Amino acid sequence: MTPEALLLILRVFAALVLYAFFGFAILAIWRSIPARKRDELIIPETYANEYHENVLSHGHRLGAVNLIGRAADNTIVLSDERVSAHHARISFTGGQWQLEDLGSRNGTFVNELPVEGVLVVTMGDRIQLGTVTLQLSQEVPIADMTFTS
Amino acid sequence: MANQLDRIEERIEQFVESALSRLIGIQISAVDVAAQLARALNEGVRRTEEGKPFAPDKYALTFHPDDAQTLLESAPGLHGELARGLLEVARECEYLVFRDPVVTIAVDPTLRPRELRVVAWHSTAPLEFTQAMQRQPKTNPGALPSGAYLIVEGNRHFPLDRPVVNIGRRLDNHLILDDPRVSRTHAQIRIRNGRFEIFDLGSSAGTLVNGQEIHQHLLLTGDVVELAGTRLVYGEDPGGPPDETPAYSPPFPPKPSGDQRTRVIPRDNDETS
Repeated sequence: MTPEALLLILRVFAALVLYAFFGFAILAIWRSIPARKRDELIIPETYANEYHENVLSHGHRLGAVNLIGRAADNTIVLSDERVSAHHARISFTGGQWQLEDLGSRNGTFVNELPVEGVLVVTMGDRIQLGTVTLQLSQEVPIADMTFTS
Repeated sequence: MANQLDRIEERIEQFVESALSRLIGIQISAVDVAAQLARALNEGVRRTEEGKPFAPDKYALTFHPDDAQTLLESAPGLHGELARGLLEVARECEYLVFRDPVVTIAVDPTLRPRELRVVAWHSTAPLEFTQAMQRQPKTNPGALPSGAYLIVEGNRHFPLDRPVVNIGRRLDNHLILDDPRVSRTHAQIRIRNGRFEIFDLGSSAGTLVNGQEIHQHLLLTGDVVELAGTRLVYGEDPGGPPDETPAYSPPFPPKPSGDQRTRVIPRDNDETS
């Protein structure tokens, strides 16, 4: 065996040891987080299904923070004259989807209940902004399916 | 309003005349163009809720094909000139403009020669114009379970008489628990389909219902909720909470609300002297 080959093997070995160490460190950090807190870090697959007069038009996949409104810089842009430019925000905080009205003109309602301050929303809840309804769901239903109240 | 329209027309006439005077062989009258532009501008103004007037930012001048061709050949910069003039006029009239005006020249063979049509509109609805909405009277939105309450630590009761109740250590919660292990915003109880549900808000100590750690839970009479050792018992009784427990009162008196007016000291020397 030539010294060059030996050196190469040693190098590869050193690299593997280094990566193993990194992996171990990340695993240790992950384990040190309580199981409940771990769940709060993972955003569950959630869709806000956009309904116009009970007809599904879009399924929006929710991220950590979602701005909803009529302006183009929102995460979820709703083209309805009754929706304010920056109307509401849904964020995944503390393991829950938390909804906040941003001082919109016509208000935000969850199952007909006006949103004041922060409100926890969950699967099946219907969020009304202007004439648009967003329903939280784990999936996008088949298009043209309507929901029943 | 008529005065305003006359004023706009006059101003527009000035710059249209100067723009068109340099064109030879054009039979379109500046007065006509000005009158039509003024009318389009004035009719296109939209007001926000606060009454701020926005002038339209898109103008289309439609001519007979022959007229349009002579116009474009002899004055390729006419659009820009008109657009600048319109912006100036709008500003003078204290109209707001959402974007700089854009003028386009269009062709319509159905128009007669020397005839002109002007249309003005808004390129985008300015975002301030959120239409107000007439809400239908709600069909009893947050029907609360009758006589729902929480018994706090077995010695006080807290009536659940609102659709949303926030629980935590911070003073802006509805139910304030003065315990260092309770998180600042610990849990939220809210109405959902006519029943109260409790949600843990990522508290550090967690929320337990009947000894089980929960994330979301539909509350039933007799459920024991534990927030970092503080025990709350959920109950529903149309007759109201039990009499033996006094009503809950926040550990700190709530801040006085409303205007704190400076008292006026009556002065008697004004009228008596």
